[in-house]
Amino acid sequence: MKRFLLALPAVLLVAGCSHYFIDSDVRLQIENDSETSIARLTVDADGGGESVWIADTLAPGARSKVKTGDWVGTFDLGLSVLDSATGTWEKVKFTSVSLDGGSVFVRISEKDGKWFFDVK
Amino acid sequence: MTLKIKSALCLCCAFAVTSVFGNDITVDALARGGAFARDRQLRDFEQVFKPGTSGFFGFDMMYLPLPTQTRLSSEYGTHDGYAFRHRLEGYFSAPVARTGVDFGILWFAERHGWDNEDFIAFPYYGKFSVVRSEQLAGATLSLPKYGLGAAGGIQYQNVERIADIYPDESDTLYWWGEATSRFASAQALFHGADPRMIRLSLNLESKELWGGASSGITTYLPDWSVARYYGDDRDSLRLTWEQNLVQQVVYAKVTGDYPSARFHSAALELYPDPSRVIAFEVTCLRRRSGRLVWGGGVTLPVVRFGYNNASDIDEFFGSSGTFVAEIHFALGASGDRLFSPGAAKGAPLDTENLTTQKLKKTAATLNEESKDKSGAKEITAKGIRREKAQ
Repeated sequence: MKRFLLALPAVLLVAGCSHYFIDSDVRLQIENDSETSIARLTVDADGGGESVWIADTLAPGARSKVKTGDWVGTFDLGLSVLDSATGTWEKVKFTSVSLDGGSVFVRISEKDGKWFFDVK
Repeated sequence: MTLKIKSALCLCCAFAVTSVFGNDITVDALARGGAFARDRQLRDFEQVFKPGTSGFFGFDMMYLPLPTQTRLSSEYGTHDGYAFRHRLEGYFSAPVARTGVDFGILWFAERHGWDNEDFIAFPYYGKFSVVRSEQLAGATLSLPKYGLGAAGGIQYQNVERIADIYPDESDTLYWWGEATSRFASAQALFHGADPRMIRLSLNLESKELWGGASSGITTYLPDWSVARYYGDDRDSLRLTWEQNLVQQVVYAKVTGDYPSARFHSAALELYPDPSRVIAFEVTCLRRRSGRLVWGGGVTLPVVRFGYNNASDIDEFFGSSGTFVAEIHFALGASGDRLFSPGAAKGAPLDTENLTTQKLKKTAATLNEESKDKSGAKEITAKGIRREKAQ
């Protein structure tokens, strides 16, 4: 019982302190590894709404600024990509992207018309 | 030592694995959190406020080691984070001169919601956080001789943070009143002149702690309670039946909703001692989808563990499938007895007896010592030097 009572303050100290060890936000930077321009990385809602995360327009090979967001978990992300043939912006979806807290660097690439969101 | 490491690893696995199968918290459930907390505070107080109670102190803090245990499911996806509920409850009552009337004051505080980080005092207040605090304050008057009591006061909701995804809420002041006797009590909560909740309870079970029988047929009478809720979309009546099954040590508790006439939850509780300081329980809760969720829990004097426990699911905004540890303390005092809320008998408070025994012992030892030493030795002071005044 004594040991248990001694352990209690330790538990109390640890309870409520995990944010010192686990990041509760994501500092995201994306790099455009495709051969066309990309813009507006959004988190998409079920009802059709969206929340813009990175508003930058990125030319091929460019990196965005680092943007912090409260998006730790699993989300559907959207990205506008430039269709160079028609000159119009089209929306690409990355479904169920899982993001841990902390610094996240992502390479966005395209192969055979398919878009990839690779967390490095 | 190896066993300890193994059991710690098993516990970590339990936290990690169970969180995978958990039910996420919904925005709707968090939006209803304020109403639930207000009701819960009043239910807590009803259990504590019996004519003759001289005091009560309680605190609770849920402990979740991982942010994946109570995920929030919003229209954007699934957010890692922590549901939380911190409680601090105090009630003190004392006789007024020799009038036979007890006057008491109470203050129950609770902070609950969902936040990106776990915390003790300072939340993160994220983009999807909801942090509310509820205060129940009031005064009580009771006549322990006749088993009568009345209480009243205010209940204040402070919305510290409510993100855009939740319906709008603001700080609100409610007021409440309660009248109680040995066998029945009535409680009501109002917002302005609008009633929000009325609860009637019939406590037929005879409890020794409150002047009833310690055994016999009257201890097997039921405790019934019916609560009517206003201004909410959920079922308007909640019925509760608590029944002593074996010698006030094993109880069954069933709750149901009306008018849907649906079963809500059931619990089989074992209290090794009728003071209810220690408890083991097996519970079953019916989800809105009709699925039954089975769980259980163990309550010890300062800590409580639960897995899918019906009360945890209710309190943690419908989150299930996760292992919960809670720093938990709830102890009331009535005369020379200690009890946990709802107890039939008290655990005797032995402080006085022990102190008297100790004093007697000390006196006896001193007498013996003085007998041995009587006149046998003389104390001589050493190292004292007198100097002549010049």
